[in-house]
Amino acid sequence: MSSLDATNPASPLAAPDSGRRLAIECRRVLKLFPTADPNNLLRWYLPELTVARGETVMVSGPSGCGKTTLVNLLAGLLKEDSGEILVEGVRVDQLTTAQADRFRGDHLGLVFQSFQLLRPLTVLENLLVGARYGRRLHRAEAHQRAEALLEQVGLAGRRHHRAAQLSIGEQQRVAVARALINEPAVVLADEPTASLDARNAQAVLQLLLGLVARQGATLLMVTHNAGLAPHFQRSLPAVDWISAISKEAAHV
Amino acid sequence: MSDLKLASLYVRARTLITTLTVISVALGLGLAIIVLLMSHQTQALLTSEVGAWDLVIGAKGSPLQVVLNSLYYMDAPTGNISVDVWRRLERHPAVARILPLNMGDNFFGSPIIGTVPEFFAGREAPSGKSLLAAGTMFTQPFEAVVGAEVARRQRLKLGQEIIGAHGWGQTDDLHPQFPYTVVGVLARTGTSLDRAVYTDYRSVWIIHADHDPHQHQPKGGLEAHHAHEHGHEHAAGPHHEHEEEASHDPYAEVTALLVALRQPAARFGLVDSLNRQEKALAVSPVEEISKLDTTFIAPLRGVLLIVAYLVVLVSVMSILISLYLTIHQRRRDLAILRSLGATRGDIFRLITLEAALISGLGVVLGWLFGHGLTAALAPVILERYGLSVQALQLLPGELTVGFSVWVLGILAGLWPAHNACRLRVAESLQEE
Repeated sequence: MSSLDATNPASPLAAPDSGRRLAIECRRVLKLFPTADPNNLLRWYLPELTVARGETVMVSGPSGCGKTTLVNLLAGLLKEDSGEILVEGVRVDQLTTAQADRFRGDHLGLVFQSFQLLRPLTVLENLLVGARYGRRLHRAEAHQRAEALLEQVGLAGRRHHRAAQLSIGEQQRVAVARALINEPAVVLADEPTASLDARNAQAVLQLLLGLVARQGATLLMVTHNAGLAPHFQRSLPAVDWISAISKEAAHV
Repeated sequence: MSDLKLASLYVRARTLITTLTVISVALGLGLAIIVLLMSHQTQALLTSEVGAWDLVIGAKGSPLQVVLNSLYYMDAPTGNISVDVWRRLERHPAVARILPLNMGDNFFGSPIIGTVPEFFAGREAPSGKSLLAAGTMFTQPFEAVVGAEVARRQRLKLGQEIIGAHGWGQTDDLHPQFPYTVVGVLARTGTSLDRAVYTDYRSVWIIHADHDPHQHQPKGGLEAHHAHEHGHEHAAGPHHEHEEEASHDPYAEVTALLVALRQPAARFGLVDSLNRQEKALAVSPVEEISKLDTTFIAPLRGVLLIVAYLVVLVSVMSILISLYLTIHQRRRDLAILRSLGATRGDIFRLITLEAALISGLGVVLGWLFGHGLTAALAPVILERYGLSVQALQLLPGELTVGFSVWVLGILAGLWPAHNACRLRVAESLQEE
């Protein structure tokens, strides 16, 4: 693994214009995972990563290379073992669980491969839950934003349908709308097109990029599909992030 | 979207398990309410009747039977006693009021009580209105005043003629030659008054003198007999333990006497002397009912309440189990909520609210079930046991029990809520 410097504009993991304010900064982030072998650990290590505000970045790599781990660490859903993670200038790695939850709701929008819609709820209710736990919007404002977003993703007519009644393409459009209901500063997308056919994948991607651009948000999307790179301002390879090490080596 | 709305959506989404849990809570609470209602009203009924009378005098036999028969018409009479006891006690300086009760006939199972109009003195309907809902009090033999339940069940109207039958409980041995005319209908009281027919005590004498071919009616008719009974002693029959005479003469008998004393404490001396000297049994109803309550009703109520509370406890446990199991099944959904910014506190509140909703629904349904079943059973209880149960009466104890069940249900949700808070979000999001 090469050592990469965020201040070096030549580094693929650094934001190209160091003068722009950064939305995401990661430095020497280490996460260790247990394995089936009690003597060994799986080591996830990211030396450096920066993403400028408003930038759209794609991180690509094969399955199992640790892309989802990056998203979970940035979102505060996983706790790193060492290193620094800053999102919108906030040390996510230093937040308590409750603070991380609040921060996620206030500043981040998450889109997942398997949509992660709440099945007992309707399309509109899924968006309203996002507003409830995000910026804790007032009822009227939350409704207004949800209705507007559903118009934008073309699902206004299905607001009272449940997730199971939608096609998978429609479900992912709902998930995109929910991720953006709180107008997050940073959108983290984990393989949002992987479960979709080519036509739906293209539609969802364009929708995501369009909404992110409209809201002026930063987008970091991880995917195994390197072919999507032309849609993003920058594309990064997720290589050599994962390695197996012994427990002794981890202590060292 | 409010926490309550989200909780209710999740409760509604698990229709089957929510319904079963709610029913379980409702059954437990309903049972407890039924026990509370029955025991409270039994006690209220028993104590309401005993207050007015210091002594009940009947034929020798079980003291409790004498009280249950005379005051509640719940049991068959122990027999008859000589009218002389009545006449002697009437003149006793300690006696403030004494009334006869003549029993032995029924109207479709409702006892026909021969007494005097003073029997109703001082009584009123629970609303404070007059005890007579319609008509007038009986003034002569074969005029009848019917209790509210009898009137309702037999659809009786003023002026209607009714035929009594011989015996306690419903029998076919009718007295068609002695019809009664309904002259009054009592207001509903929730007491034994509701299910009896009241008439002049002499009606019973006349019928039974005629009914038994071996008996005689005194020459000169009723008035002559009435005059004669004040002055002399009767012959007692083989079944009638009249102290002085050998033949059975219904004109010389009453079934029971209700006695109010000038000084309640005088009852001790009177009971002793009456039980020693007369062939009758004098009983203090307060003491008998108190004994009945202490030895039978209170322990039974205690056992039933323990059973009911155990059922409630088991049903509350069902809330815990159902929530615990559903949280295991809902790991992914809970992780999604966390990914959207819900804190552990939010999740804890959500699950606790779900427990509150389920137990709240159970409490409401249990309350309806308890009162509904009591209402459904009330006619059967009235018919079989003579207890008039007011199904819609709200007892203060019910509110306590209902609130306790609700709180217990919420407490039962705390452990599942605690577990829900501790799930690993990133891992759970990967689960399908």
